[in-house]
Amino acid sequence: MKWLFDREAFGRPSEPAELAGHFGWSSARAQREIQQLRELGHVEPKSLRLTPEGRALGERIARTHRLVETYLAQETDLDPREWHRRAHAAEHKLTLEEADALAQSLGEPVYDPHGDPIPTAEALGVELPKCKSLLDCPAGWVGRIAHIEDEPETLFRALAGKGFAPDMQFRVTRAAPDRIEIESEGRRIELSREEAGQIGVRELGPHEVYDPTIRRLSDLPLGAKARVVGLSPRVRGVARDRLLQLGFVRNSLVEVELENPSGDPVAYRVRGALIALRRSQAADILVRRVAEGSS
Amino acid sequence: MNGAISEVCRRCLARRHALSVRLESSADSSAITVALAGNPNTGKTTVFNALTGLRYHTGNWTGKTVELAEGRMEVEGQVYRLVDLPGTYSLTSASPDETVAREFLLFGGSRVTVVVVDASRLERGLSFLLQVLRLTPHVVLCVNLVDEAAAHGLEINAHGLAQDLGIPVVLTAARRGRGLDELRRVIHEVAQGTRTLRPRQLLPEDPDLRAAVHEIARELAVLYPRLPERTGVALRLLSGDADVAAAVREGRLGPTRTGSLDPAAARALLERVTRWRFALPRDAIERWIEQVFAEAAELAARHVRQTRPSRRAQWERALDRWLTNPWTGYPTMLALLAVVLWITIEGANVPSQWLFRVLVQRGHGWVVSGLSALGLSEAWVSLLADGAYRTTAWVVSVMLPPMAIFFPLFTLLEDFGYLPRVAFNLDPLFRRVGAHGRQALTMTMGWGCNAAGVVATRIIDSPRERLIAILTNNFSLCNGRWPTQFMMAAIFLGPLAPPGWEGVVAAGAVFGIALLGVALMFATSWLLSRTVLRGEPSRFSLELPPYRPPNIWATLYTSLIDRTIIVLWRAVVFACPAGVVLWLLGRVDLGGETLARLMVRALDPFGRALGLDGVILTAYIVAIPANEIVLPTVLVLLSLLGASVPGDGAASGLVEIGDPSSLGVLLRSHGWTTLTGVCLMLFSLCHNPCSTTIFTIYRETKSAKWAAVATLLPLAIGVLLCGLVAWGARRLG
Repeated sequence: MKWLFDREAFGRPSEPAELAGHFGWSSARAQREIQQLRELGHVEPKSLRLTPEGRALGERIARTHRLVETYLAQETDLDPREWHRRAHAAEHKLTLEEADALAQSLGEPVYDPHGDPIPTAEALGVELPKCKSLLDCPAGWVGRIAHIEDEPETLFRALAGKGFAPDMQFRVTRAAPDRIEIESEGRRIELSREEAGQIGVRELGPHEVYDPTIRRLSDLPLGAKARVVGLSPRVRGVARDRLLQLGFVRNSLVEVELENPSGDPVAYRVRGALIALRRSQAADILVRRVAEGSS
Repeated sequence: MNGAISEVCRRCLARRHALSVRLESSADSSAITVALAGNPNTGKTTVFNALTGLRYHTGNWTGKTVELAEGRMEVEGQVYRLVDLPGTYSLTSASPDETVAREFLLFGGSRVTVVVVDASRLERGLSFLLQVLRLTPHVVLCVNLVDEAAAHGLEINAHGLAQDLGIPVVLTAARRGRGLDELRRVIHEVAQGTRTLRPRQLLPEDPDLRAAVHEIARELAVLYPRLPERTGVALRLLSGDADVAAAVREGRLGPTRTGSLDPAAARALLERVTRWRFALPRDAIERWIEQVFAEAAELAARHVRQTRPSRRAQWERALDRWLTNPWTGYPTMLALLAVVLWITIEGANVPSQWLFRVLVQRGHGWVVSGLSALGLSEAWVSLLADGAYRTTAWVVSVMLPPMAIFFPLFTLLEDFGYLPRVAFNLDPLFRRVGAHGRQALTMTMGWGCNAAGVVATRIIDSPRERLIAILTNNFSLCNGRWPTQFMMAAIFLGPLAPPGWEGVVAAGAVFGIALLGVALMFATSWLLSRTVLRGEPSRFSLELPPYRPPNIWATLYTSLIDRTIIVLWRAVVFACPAGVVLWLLGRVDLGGETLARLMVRALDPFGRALGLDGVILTAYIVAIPANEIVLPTVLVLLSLLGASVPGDGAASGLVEIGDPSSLGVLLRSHGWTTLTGVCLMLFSLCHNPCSTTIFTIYRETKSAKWAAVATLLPLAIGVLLCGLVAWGARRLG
């Protein structure tokens, strides 16, 4: 149900064969499942489109799933690759009231760790942004990551491992039949077609310009100076707040001042204080280098 | 917080609900509450101490004071209750410290808030101040550490700043006692209302966010008419602050219009907030935080002048490079530790001997004659003089000098700001074993006192990593165990050295034991994180504060007094009863033999297997309450068993306990060998924590299970280690 819901929002109509392939079912089993959904009144009789009731149900499941992921992202130290699996396990176990309570305790979060809006209890009907698949992008195309499909899990874990997160600005450098290469935050990332198919992208906004000079703070050498452009959406909740309050806000001047004997952690001079961060955290701070000697 | 157990116990834990209850039922109702807030490392606690006259110690690293301290101040007859809030970077993040600080500012009922900032880092302090101004308008800005700023060539225009901010600004150098009178006066004026404030209220530039804030603030005014800072609360709600939302929902924000909260109205308000949060651009709140920082930067630039280039800053940078350099960083750390140990060993010698002569040898005689003159029976005299007094006196003479030297030295390093650099250097090692870099700090605290080290683990946010730090803290040799180590090293290992090198070898041996403790800590952390405490590494951020030249004499003096008092107090509380217990063991007969002899004989086989003997094990059992009484207990037991012991009226009396060679003769005559000495050193490193620490662990973890693990795990390792060493030594002949 959640998969159908997401696909609809994603703007990609679903075929029974895709359904079967995604869940690893035989086509016979897929048909049985679809039939069951039709009987329950969640899916249209002739296609795989959701009925209004089906959409409402899908929305509720999506809400619970995203709330749990938000909880895991904000309140625990779990690796992002774990979020989906655990949320998947939990999404059917929570009642509506429990989901509401969870939302309350998290401060009514608006977006989940993937960048998707969390449907509210009253289903205020938030529109998902229009996006297209990375597969459809030619070389030279620039845009932002809009959505990262969380199933199948293996692909999601691979993508999370490569550092993908919603809102990342990127440019396609090479679009071959079997591989796609993009450049983002000063790094080159290679994707297989399969992986690329999981990613939804959107164009830059009317006032946005692709900036190839953006780097990750962790990639800067000792002695470098830079100005903060922003924090990556990968970092959320308490960790994000802490980085902001330590002074890593847009326009702050940062200098790479000290390195641990082994290279990690690194101490940065920001807004008058010397703050040590592990490289994995500094990777979430996006900066633009400035010339040495400027203040 | 240097191992000052009494202070740790004096401060109560700041749990949220307990906090509000406590505030409401304040006994001294005429006292006006004043809150002290600020970033960490601004000398806030020094200001607090100076205003209240208390002597809490402050160390120079971020995040140490995690409880609320209260003090009393009087100005022109009006009593003020000063509350020292935890030092925090902001009032928005959800760490426990920051929640406590924010809640106090919102709900704590303080009439005045003093924000303390570091004059050399005004920009940072001002952004914190602007956040506070959102929550309460009655603020006094205290710009502290102006002496340090001057050393860096910085000049602050307090008057101009006060005009721009609309609140009073006081320049202070609290360590040197400057500016405090003015601060007291200003606090008094603001509290009494004789000074009007026109605090600068920053509003979001973003028109959408501004509209949202206005609307929510308006609705809050309807619900809570007497809430002064509605925009601040509105901003918190729009940032998704669950605590504040809960307070709104539960009617805890203050008096309502009708006297009781209308739940439907509260719910409607919160729904409005949610609607706004969806409607606002995603980064609206972050833009706001950015705005606050930019404003702070501008204010700082306008009112701070660099009158000359700062050579201090260059010097500090060079020092930092030296301390974190791959070639010089680690060796410097080790060298510093070794030097501190050596100074302690050498320095404690003479005072120990003097104390022994006065307190034990002569003092004993005085006590005996004094008590006899009171007409007490022989048994009572013996109990009090031989049992209680003599044990206590031994503890004091053996323990006090080393503690009184080690702690102040350690405090100086802390004040200077060196310890965070240690944590910075060691973080990769800790990460590799599944622990957190800040454990370096709690480990070094443990060298002062394990209970304080355990409390200090609160700076580690992740519960898993915190637990690892707690369970392994025991491998930091606490002050109560250093003297045992020094003594054993001096008696058994020193003589093995070529003449003239005994002191160095002994110090080297203790140094080796300390390092072994560190190694065991890493190994145990690794083990725990692979078995019962599995999980992912969490985030690590640490501020490396500027170096501050410590107030050497003041620190030494305060620390010395502190330590002396604590040692004496612990001696009385733990050594006295232990002495009585020992006396009873020596007197009570069971089937013709004293209890002491029975226990020693029963434990002897097990003891020998560990390279120790029955006397040592019995002493350890009696000394479970406190580590520092182990060695004196051993001596008392030996005397009970008939060996001639220094201080014993009947015996030779010329033997000095402070003199290792004579004590060595005594112990060897009882059958102790070098092996015994070494195994005792190992066992002292690894045995269970003292009673205070166990209790503290229980209180911090709220789990009897973990307290038990913390007690038994080191003990098990100790038994294993000693057993192996003893077995190995015997095999090698």
